[in-house]
Amino acid sequence: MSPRASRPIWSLVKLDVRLERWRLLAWVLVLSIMPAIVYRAYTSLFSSSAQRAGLSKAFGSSASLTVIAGPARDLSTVGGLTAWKCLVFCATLAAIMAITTVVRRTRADEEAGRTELLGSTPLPISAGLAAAVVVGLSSSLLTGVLTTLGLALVGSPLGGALALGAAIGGAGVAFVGIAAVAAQATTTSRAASALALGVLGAAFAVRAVGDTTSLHWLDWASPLGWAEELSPYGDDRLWVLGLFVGFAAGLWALAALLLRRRDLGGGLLPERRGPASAPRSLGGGLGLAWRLDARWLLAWTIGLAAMGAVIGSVTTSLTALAADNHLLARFLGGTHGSLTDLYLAQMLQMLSVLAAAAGVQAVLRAHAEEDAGRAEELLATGLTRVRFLGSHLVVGAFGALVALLAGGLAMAAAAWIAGSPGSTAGMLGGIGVQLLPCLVLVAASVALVGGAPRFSVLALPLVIATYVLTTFGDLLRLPGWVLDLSVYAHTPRLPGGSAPLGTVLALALVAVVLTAVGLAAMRRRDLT
Amino acid sequence: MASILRMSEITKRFGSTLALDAFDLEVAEGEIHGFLGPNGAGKSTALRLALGLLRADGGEVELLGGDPWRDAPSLHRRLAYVPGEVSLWPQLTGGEIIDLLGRLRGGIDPARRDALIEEFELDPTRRARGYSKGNRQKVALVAALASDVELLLLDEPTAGLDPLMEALFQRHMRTERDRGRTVLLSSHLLSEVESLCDSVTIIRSGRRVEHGSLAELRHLTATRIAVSLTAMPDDLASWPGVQEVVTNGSEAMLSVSTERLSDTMARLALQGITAITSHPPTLEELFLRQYGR
Repeated sequence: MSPRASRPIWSLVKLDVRLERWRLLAWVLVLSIMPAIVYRAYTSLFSSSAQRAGLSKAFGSSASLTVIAGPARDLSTVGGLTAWKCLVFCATLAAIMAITTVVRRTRADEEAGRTELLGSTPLPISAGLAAAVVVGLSSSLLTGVLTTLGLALVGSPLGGALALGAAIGGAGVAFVGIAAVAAQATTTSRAASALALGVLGAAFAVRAVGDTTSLHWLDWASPLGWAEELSPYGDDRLWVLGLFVGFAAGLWALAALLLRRRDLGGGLLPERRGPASAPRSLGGGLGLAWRLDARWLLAWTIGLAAMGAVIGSVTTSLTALAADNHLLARFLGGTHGSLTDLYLAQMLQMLSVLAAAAGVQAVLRAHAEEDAGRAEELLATGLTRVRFLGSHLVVGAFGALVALLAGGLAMAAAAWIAGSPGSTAGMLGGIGVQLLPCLVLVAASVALVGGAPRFSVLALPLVIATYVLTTFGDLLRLPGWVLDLSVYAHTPRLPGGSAPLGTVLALALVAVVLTAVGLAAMRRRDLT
Repeated sequence: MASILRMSEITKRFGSTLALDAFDLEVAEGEIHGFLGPNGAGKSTALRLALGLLRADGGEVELLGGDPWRDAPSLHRRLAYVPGEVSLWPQLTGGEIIDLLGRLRGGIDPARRDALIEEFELDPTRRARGYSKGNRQKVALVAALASDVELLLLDEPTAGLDPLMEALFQRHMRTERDRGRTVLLSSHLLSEVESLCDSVTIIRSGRRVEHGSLAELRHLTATRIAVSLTAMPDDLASWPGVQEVVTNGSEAMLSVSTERLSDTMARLALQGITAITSHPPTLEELFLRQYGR
């Protein structure tokens, strides 16, 4: 789709910006400030070039961290270090920003019937898509520009800053294209998001394999791989940016083509008929919550299992690294245990955050039901409010448990096959312990939905914030009390650490209290 | 007669807006009660309060002998509610939704369900995503009618139904009443209320402005008469109870208040009636009197 600059489209762009401004502002600011903060932190943390050279040697041959962070190209400079820590992480987040923005303003609008209203105006049928693409594109570009500016402000060389900005913004641009197509190919916003996020997951995995094996060419098959190939603070290959733009432009054209070939509200596949009567299982609050969320939780579970398998399978070379042990440990954010254990513990934590996101999403379904007016129909029957919200809680907590188990066990099994298992007891304990922060976050979302429904939108950002705090907080030298805000700061790290019973019970208690608060508030308030 | 629903002196605020202002409503057992008012008068808010979905800031609600805020679930099993905006789960089929809602209300009669689906010409295998507004309405109505309940609370149930379906709906409402069920029906369609309801409550800006049986309410308005007379009296406009007089030769149009109807007819007869038509006061006139300038 070529976003033509005719006037009516700009009025739609303005509308989209108006609707998305706070979300986009938060995304763009967080994304573009993070590299600058990391750059500054590294400048003071690894001040001597000898330290950096040590790191470089340690990581140069390490495949394991490469999975998450990409290849350590040049860790002898602060810029190289920053790029290594931020590039894949920020590029992935930029892609998520692009996907959510475009899907919200295309398929979600269409699903809600708003597109129909606009479609009856003299605007061309493609105007809504064009406007969403323009908004997604602009926020990606803005992220890139601000990242570059931020890095330049903290003293980074301009070439590297430009390349890192281009890599992060470019990933956003590419996924604006993918989301535009996904929104045309599916009939619901959830399915569109799932499709686009699935492509993101595949892009992540493809570049991870490309980075860790001899199949380096695979990097060129993934937009996230291109971000790496831009090589910020290395070769600064800015021409790779052209790949993003060309790729995205092709996808926009495809999206516009698909849009013209389908009906309003339709997708590429015709609607299937369904059963004329409900199965026995669909008879109460729990049955309904399960029916609505089971497919998505299954998708999360498969995704986490695949991710765990990839992470686990590349644990091998880490144990061989003896040199610069303490620096690596510092990088991993801890000081106990063997490196393998540290690595596995950290990865378990990441799986736990993702599992928590899955659970929180299931709880947010209760809010969506209320928002759409369906809760009104449900609660005018024999269904109690506590059972209504509680059903989504049970499904969410169960989903988080299953997803975490799948991811953790797949990781443990893959690490074992690869010949570098952590301690078996430690792994199982780690999975068990990491379930606690999941439950706390799920319970926090119950408290939001029950007690402050207007702020339910904060539930998922809260999950992301806890992870960012724990992963980057130490490095940023944030004050202790800020770090302590994250539930993961209080979660024992296993394998490799110890899990005092008191801590475990305290976390469980927090989850119980938050749940009780949410359910009690749900009983007492007006239905919105 | 026992009252199924009684709301007295109900006040409800949303922020600074006063949605209901010392509002009263009483629905007697076994009647079809019409709840009339223009958009935004507070009809839906009153229904949600009656269901315990909202909590009143002041006043008392008694539903089926209980407190809907406290005993909602047990009371809800004895009623069925169709909201004004029927929102369905897009991924479930119409049939599945009917079963789900029926089961949540404590059971559904399968034979009756199938008969209703047939009557309302609903395709239960389609997913709700593909339903039109009218079909979504039908799903909620079939689910409500197929449930074994004492009270039906319907918020503008015929919005979106075609005239054939509307007639079918009215037939069903009468059957329900004959089976001893109570119906509270909010509407802004006067004809619907007029042809269906036994009694009416009219709401305006959150306050009850009229209520009573339809017969009682008609007393409040005038009968419209068109008459041809052999001798046209000069002082017709000044007769007691006579208003809005328009004369044209031997023909006259006039409105007569209900309590003066006998007197007026007697006096007109003395003038020699050659032709006469009259129509009873309509709810529309009542409505316009409340809302018109």
